[in-house]
Amino acid sequence: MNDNEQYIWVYGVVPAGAALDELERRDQLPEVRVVEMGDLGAIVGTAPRNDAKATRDQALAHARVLEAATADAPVIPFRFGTMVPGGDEQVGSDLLDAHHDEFAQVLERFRDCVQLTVKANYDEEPLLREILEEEPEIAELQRQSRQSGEVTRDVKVRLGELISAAVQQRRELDATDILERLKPVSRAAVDDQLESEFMALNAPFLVERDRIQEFEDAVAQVADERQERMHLTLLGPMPVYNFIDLEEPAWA
Amino acid sequence: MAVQPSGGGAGALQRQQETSSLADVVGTILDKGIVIDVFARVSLVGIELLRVDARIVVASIESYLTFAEAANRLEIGTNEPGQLTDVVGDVSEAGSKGVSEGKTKGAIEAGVDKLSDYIAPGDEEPEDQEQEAGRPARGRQESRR
Repeated sequence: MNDNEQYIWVYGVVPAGAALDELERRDQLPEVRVVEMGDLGAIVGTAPRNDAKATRDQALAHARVLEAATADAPVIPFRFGTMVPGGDEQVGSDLLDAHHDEFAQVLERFRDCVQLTVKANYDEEPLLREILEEEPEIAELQRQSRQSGEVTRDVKVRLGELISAAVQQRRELDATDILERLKPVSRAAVDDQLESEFMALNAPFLVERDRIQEFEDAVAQVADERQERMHLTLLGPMPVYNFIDLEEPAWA
Repeated sequence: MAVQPSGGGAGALQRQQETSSLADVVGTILDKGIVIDVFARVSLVGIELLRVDARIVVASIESYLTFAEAANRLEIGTNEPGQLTDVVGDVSEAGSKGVSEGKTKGAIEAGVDKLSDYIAPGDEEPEDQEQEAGRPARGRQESRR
């Protein structure tokens, strides 16, 4: 920040005394320090300049610092952009001390867990071929629109709308199927916003630390079985971003 | 099976242990994480642009057109490819790269590229002032060549 007022950037909160080796080890992280107060510690750093480039760099830094810390300790991730006015002293008093019980509870609740996010994306061509094969109405419209040379926008919109509905049907089946398969190896999951038209599932999972490998193996198997028509990406371990507001995250 | 979960490359699963691109970050951290009300989050320049760009609305006219264009790109034996190329040519320009690489990722990354063109011309040459402004030295490595 270029203002006179000074801010401390807060990444997250960890138990005091946590040995954050991975945070020391990883490259390309900004300089951070841990401010401790009682049994809590806040991972903090310098606030970025307030311009677009600095904001974008900080977005990446924020995620990477929190991931590195998660490798060694439970971490409460802070909403991107949280800054405490003042210095380390204020971080101790106004943040850690003032919110001690809330932080301690959240740390306890997620002590043994991390988040792993599964993203499943359809492969465009096999999915569309499947739809054209199974839905004569769509195949006919597609044939017409291709033969007529000049395709009007209305025809395209109509065709796209039908395909969109067909994709949605398959998406619901596939997403449910994948979630069911991963249920036994996870504690909870949420359905996050899709990132593209061909995405089938964007699901953060809450996974116990000592079952990460088991979860990875299960996801790998799910991916193997479906590689004809979709590919899966597994991200993490990362802090429990998507579960932090939930009292008792669990499968229904 | 054939998959090495922590390897990378082999197998059907793409394993990504560390966040490495802005495209990943947008979905992961924006609007997530604990909020402490008393600390008014200072509005950050550039955040709104990131957010808008990352949001792809499913079931919109735009997404319908994406599907239609994808369907029209399919090579099918019964069609005459000659005329088709003209039709598909301009509409699929942005997405054409994605056909071989996985369309979905392409869309997001393209968005972020576009964003960087827009908000940060001359990004590639970090200025000397940056260091004085308190940017941690280690954090700058990424922008070096």
